[in-house]
Amino acid sequence: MKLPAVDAVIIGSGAGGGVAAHELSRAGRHVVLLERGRNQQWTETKHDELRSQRTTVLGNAFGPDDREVRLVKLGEATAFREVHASDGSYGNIATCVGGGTKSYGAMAWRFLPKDFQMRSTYGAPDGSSLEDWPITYDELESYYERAEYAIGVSGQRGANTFEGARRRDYPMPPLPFNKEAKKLHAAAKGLGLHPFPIPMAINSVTYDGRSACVQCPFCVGFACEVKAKGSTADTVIPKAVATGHCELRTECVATEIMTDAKGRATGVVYVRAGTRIEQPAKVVVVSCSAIESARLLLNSRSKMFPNGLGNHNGFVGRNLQSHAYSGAYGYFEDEFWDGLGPAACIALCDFNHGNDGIRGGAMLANEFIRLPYLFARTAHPPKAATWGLEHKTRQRRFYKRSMALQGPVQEMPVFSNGVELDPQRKDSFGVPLLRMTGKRHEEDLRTARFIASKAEAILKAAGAIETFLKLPGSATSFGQHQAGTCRMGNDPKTSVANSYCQLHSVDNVFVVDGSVHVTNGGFNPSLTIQAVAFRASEYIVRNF
Amino acid sequence: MSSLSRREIIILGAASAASAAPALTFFTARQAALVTLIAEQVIPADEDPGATDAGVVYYIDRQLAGTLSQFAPLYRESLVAFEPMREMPVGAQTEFLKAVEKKEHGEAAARLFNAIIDHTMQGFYSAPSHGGNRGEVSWKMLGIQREMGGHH
Repeated sequence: MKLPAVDAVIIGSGAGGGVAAHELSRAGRHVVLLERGRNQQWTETKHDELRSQRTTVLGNAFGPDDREVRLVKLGEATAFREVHASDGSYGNIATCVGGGTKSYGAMAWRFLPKDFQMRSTYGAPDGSSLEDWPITYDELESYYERAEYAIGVSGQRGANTFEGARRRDYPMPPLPFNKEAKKLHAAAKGLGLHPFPIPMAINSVTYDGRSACVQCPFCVGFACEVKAKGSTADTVIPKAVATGHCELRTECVATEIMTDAKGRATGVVYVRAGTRIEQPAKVVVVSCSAIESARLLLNSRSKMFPNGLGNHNGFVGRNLQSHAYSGAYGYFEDEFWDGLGPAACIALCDFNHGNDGIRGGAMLANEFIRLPYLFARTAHPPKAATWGLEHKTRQRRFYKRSMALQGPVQEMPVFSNGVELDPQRKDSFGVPLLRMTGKRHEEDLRTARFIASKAEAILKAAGAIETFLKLPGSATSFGQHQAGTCRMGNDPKTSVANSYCQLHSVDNVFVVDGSVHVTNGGFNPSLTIQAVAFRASEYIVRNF
Repeated sequence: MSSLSRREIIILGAASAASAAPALTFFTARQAALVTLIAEQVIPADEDPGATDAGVVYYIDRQLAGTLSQFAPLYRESLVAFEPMREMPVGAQTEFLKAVEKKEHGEAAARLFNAIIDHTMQGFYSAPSHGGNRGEVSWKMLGIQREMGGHH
């Protein structure tokens, strides 16, 4: 079935695709927004620790379901093994309207100026394809501002002494500190560090017709019951639809981008309820997150592009990266768990850069609220008994007397980390399965140990009676922060897209998601994805 | 399967105390009794209720027949390795499981015990609607019943 042509088809309704839909439809372009998942409502998932985006033991709450499989070779593994979508090694990101932003923790970070210039700041270590971004923080600043106002970000201007210049204040004041943040604030200050409230895409006051946060404990990993969380599903996407120029089509699985004899894109093929549908469009925006965006391009093969659309240099799917989370847990004498979400509310950027002998680093933040099953399985010293009275006594004694401080260590990009199409096996939509490889660079593990030691020192200063480190292994965990597979750059030989997310070799195809990140910052990446999306969208509107 | 011993009848009785026992869908009564013994070792009753009081075996039973069916073959094939526990005093059961953990009773038994630890934690700490945590006993123990149950 072939549908009438539209101005733009956007594939994926997450952080990037949602913004693009909003900007293009506001400018009067006729847009079709395709989403492979559903438009999920809070009542479908509610508050269930075992079925959230964080704890998936009873399945992915926001998709995809376990019919989806990938072949993964992670860390020291020498062979591919098959994993289902709810397996931690799958590298899942939610598939529903809003994508990852429907259930994310909603930290809304701007990268620091040096995060865009990692190679020129530190030099590339052996075995890494480290590069600078083709844009600077200053070029992106006004787009960060637009993202903060469109999504709704709470924060305190000037509180982060390390951040780049900021023209305009946050749209909302920060969320209040909880009891553990107050302890950490005093301890960090005492060590001469610079703690501040985390910028969060969570309403601290009523904003843009959405409620203020009610501070329930079911925050990260859950959809927000009162829509205080700035998901694209509850902000830019409904606004895009309200323009009358954007049609949201759910449960549509894009399988291929169509091209003409000259290699330009002519539209998208997708499958809905078993039917193959062609949607012609003047512009195609790919926003499926780093893993699936690469897969779609790789599966769009033609005479002009035998190795996949835009893949003239073999870079599509390469340099897949995420974050090497590391930090420490601390047990305390006194009780301070107050049951208030999101709980993550204090951070510091003292260790993002300028660390002796270390390339980059990470921000450190206190952890989101701990729910009891996850606490039972993770928040114990490495050699402690995991069962029996010792377990039970520990839960009783420390559940309300513990905290974690951790940060997303930015990984050194490695060319051989990435995705490729399996030569034989296909999924139920006829798309080849993905093979995914991820082994962290030794540099990441070194940085992670450094960051963890800093977290531990702060916890001790806050009065922890026992601490233990949380260190990453060599197996990359992709998931929500996946990035890098279609990196942007000025040189078409070593990058996939230009700084406007436009493919170097196909002028009417744009990749608007974490795929274009050259490096992923020492931060949660959603606001950067959105800032880049605002910039790319402006370019599309101006040129198409 | 042979009939239940008097001891197992008592154990299963405790597991289904207070309310009518949910019907088993995956385990036989005899298997359920053995899993209950193991789960009680994972989270034993002391001044607070343990896995048996929380009805953890009913969580496991329900999930093995549904969402966690990928573990069904492991339970079906390897539970037999735990048979010696039935007639042991509690202290000896603990020692037995420590040996299982060290793979002294084989790889499969160690793998199953790992799964039972995880499934017991899931059943004990998650929402009662999944079949375990009867009476929200774990949330009461941690003092988080108000935050976790119903209201938010």
